[in-house]
Amino acid sequence: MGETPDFDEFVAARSGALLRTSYLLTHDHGLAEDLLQTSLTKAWFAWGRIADSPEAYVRKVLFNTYATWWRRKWNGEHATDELPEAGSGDLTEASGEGIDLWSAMERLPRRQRAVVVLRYFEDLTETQTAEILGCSVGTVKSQCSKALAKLRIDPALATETRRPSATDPASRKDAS
Amino acid sequence: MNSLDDLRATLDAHASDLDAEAGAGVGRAASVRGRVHVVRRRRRAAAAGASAAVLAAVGALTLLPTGSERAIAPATVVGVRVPTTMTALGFGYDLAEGIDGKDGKVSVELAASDSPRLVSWATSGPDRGVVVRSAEAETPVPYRVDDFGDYVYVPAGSGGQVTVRADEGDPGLAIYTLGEARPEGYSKGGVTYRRSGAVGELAGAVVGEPGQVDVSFDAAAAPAGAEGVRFALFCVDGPADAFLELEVGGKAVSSLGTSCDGPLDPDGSAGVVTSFRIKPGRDLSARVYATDGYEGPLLQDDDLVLGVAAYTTDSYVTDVGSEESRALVVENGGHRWERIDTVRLGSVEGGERTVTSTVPDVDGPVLAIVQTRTSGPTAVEFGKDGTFVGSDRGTGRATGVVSPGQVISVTRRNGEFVPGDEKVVSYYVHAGR
Repeated sequence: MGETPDFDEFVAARSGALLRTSYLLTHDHGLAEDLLQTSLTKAWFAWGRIADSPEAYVRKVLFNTYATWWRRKWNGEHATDELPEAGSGDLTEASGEGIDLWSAMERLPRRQRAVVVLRYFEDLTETQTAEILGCSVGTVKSQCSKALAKLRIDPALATETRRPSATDPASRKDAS
Repeated sequence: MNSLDDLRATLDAHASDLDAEAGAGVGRAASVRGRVHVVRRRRRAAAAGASAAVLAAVGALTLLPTGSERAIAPATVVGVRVPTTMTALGFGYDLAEGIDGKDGKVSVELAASDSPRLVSWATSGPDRGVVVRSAEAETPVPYRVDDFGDYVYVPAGSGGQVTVRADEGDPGLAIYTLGEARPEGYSKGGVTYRRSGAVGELAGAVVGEPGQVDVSFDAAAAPAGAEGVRFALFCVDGPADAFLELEVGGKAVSSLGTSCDGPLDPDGSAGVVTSFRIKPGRDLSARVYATDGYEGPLLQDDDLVLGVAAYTTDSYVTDVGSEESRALVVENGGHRWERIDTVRLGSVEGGERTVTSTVPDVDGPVLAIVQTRTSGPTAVEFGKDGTFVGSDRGTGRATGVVSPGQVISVTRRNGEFVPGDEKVVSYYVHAGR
């Protein structure tokens, strides 16, 4: 397996950033690493075709693998220390101001979480997001709208002030 | 109310908090190459298996009688009479077909099916030793059991190749499909919540009608001696992104995001399980309803089927280091497993970066359950191919079916283990072996 030296260079240079994205999707370090390595493995077999722009390919594989991963992989037993007594405080997320956005993201369906990460961490446009997820721009808009509503983000505050272009590696804080 | 800036700041903060560069170099690339190696090997095996299946279809496939004829005309493979039924976790399976092997090998490629299946085997000679390769385990597994004395479980929705190589003589395969026999318990709509099992003792259960997106049952209070409760939930024929809200005793306790578009597993307790510590007398009456997203409206779906059951257990433990945390009997992948050993990895004082354990030398597959409670990011890997199983800082649990002699490693990602870090692996073998 020594015929693709660029692959190792790519992993060394870019897998840290990809792991961060994977972590934002899975919210679990172990699953993030597993998701990343699964995606890189798929990319390895296509390396001859994608060597010109491997990151876009790996990112696409990563998001789609996340969205479609076999459900049992994510359905381990959920252990909680104590069954709350009836009448104790409501465990469900309180509505209103300033909810914990990180916790709230965990409750988003996978595709909505993927849209949030692509739009507001990767800073991709709706068109770019649709391209990666293999869906229409309209679907991206509706999924994003639903996600923001669940995250209690006021549409009036949802201004489209994009950060510097994500396509410019030099502008990314996680660029190697 | 939050803003997009808050969202971006949250994403940035958590991404920056991750030790993403650990393993970014040689380690991660090597691990990926290990996975590539495994995939290539499986592809080669699949190609060889496809050839074997074609051979079997034209020559050696033993098509067995169906229906009532089966009982009066039992088939044989490699000269061994094939049992007409098998049982796995109380569920009955009926013989579907048999395949004779040759040249010391037999293989079948199973198409995906909506129901679980069993694949069992026999050998033509007195030596019972075989090596079985299937999706059940990461690597080929050596067995030494009586003819048709064990099986490979192929879960609902799955297929894949099963290959058996005999140490001596020729092996034969028998494939079993889910039959009518069910274990005692609550059954409805093709699903059974067993009355008892490693999951616990059934306290109450309900399976709704298609389109009934809100189901509930009344249960007796938790009996004396019960320390834990497990709620087993399932949903089928619904959307890929649904939320199941669980209420116990009228109190919301869990919100579980799950997929409802998978195949129906006849074993209700094999679905999503959420567990709690309880006190005797606790009201275990439960309600589950499906919503369109977290805190969303009730799902409107004419086909969706929901189910929930409560199982009480006489212990509830999450403490990695405690003896009680290691169950004597567990169920996994259509098998019941008995614990044969528990090993605490590494030294009490810490200082290691990687600690390892070698899977005991037994005949048959071994279920390894690795529990960790560590002060930093920790990785669990099964086998030399570096199959990453994962765990995070804090408490983690990794499960895998492994082969005797394989090495399990637990690695502290960006430092060394410190005093107080717990790394425990428990080994299980098929019950009744």
